[in-house]
Amino acid sequence: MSGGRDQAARDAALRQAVEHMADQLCLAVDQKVDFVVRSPLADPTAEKLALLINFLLDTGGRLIEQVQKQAEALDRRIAERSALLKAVFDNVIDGLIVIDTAGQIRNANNAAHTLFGYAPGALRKLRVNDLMPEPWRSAHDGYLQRFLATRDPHIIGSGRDVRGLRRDGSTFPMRLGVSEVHVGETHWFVGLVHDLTQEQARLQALHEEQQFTNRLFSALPDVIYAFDTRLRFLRWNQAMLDTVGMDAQTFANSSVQQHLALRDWPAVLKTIFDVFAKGEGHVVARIKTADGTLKPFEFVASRLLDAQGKTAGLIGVGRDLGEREAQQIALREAKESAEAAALAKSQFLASMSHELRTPLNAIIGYAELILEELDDGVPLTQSRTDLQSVRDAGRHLLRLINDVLDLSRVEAGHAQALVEAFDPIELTRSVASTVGSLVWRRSNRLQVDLPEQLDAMHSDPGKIRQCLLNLLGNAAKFTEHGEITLTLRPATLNGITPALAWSVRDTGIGMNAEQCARVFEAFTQADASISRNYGGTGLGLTLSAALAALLGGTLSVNSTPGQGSTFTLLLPLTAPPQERTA
Amino acid sequence: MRLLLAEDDPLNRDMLVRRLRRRGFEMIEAVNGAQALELLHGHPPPDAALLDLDMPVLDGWGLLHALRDRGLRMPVFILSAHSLKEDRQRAAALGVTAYLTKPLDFDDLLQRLERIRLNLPAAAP
Repeated sequence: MSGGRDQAARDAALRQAVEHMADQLCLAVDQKVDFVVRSPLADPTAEKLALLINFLLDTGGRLIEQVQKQAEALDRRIAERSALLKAVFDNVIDGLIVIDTAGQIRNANNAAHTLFGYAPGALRKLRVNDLMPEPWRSAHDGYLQRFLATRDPHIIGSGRDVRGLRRDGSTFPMRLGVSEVHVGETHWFVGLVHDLTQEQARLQALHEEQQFTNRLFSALPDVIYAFDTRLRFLRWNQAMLDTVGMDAQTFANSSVQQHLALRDWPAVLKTIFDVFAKGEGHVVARIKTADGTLKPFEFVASRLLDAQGKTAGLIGVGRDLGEREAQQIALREAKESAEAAALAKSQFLASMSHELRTPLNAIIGYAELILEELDDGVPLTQSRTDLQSVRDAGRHLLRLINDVLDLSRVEAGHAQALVEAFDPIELTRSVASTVGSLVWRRSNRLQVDLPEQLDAMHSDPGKIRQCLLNLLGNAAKFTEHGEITLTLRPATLNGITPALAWSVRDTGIGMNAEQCARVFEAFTQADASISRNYGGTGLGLTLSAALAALLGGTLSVNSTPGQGSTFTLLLPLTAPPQERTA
Repeated sequence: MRLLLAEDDPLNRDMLVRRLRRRGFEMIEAVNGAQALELLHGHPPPDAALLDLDMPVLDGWGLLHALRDRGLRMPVFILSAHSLKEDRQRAAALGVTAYLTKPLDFDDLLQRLERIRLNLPAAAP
């Protein structure tokens, strides 16, 4: 196919070689003649002329021999390259077709013949548009002509997906790439034909499979969802959207947690991490449905892996367990919480009984001791310390009874927040000024960090004062030679409601995670001697947390053993409306 | 007659020690179970033990087990502000002589100690 170009190259190389040798020859002859003519002993005899002629003949003969050898070597290289090109041309898997500017096929390889169903060599008699069905057939000549006229690269270069026409009239999908080739003044086009039949069949199968899955996905009454390891939703079906009453856009940006009942979340989270770690898991949990009710679903999930085999997320299916199961779960929960409440109540009573009996034992015991001593004639003045002990134990008992009464009033819903407008900064400053002696007793320093200005708060300043005094008192008791920091900052509750956050940070003994978890339960001071060593009733934090709840907020703790604790009182700027109770 | 008293509440401990000393008892007083074991180490065992239940470091139950583990079989009285049935049953199962609840009936305690004093092989002072 490229014989013409090779021939031209060969001719050029030969011409160059001959010119070079002729130059050399001329130079050699010049020198020789010069020598013969200019020699001082010059005597142009016939003998010398004969020598010169022989020399010229020898040199010319050698040069001609060299030129012939070079020509043979060039021929061999051209033959080798042609053979290689032909082998490639004949054996490539894709079809190669050479056409001229008129669209006449000039050459085609074996693959092209096979692809289009022709006997070897038969394609040479055809035009290229004989290999294309309509509408490409009519269009094709126009393409070539337009390209030649405008150099519009629309047809040349990268492949286009078109259809091919076989000899038997059947068609097949193919990718066609065309490149332009120049040989001398002649334009040729080389078409590369790649059969797309198998690829298209695969794509079609994949498409059908996807359609089937999608139809199945949306037709199933069960909710289906997939999310990644950061719990962001990846896929879901229509049933999922219908159940939670969201459109796809809203659902895509929603969190997994917000669709589930708060109480079920710990179990769900545990199952999610089980699935990520072990591959599968199941759990029964309630979805918050569009109408706000909780519906129990049984979820079964399996792990999704990425291409590297790492956990990428999970896909899960949830089945609605129906009305009966919902009622049973509600019943079971009501029973469990009633039982838990009864247990908590009896534990509270047992603890309270213990806490009341201990100071009573001291009061009665000291009184009896003093009476015995009086009977023995010991003067009462010597009993002064014992009488003080009776008074101290009595006062402790009174504090305890007051705390128990306060707590039961709040927990029974009988406590009222006395809401009024006040300046929270002023309130905090006044609380801080009254705890000085408490803080100094154990050589602690108090830092108060307040913002310059805040909006007025509408809440119960007396109850807030009670909470803060309690928190500061605790911090002072459990810290020695340390620092207590009281901070007030604007904040939000649940990310929306404007609120204020008071935090009380100490550098005291701190608590471990288990102690933190129980610190708001009644009578759970880290050990029983604390109430005696530190003088509390064991109810202060329980009461403070209950008061925080009454004012619509929370009391929380963050602590590390040996590094101190931070208690945070978070209250809405406006206390929730109070229910009128007896 | 020598008595061990393990009690972590300072007022209750001080009060009981003084009242029993006035009656002629020799008192060994400890603020928790661990201190009680230290005080007993290398000394003749007491004739009876009075144990509070809620104590830091080593509580009354732990101390009771430790005493029995050391082969000390003296009568043991639990003095507790807990009046739970479970605690009484547990004490009985461990061979406790009596489970007395606070506020303590001091005369009742004295009578029980008196009975033990009478049964001692070599009558004490």
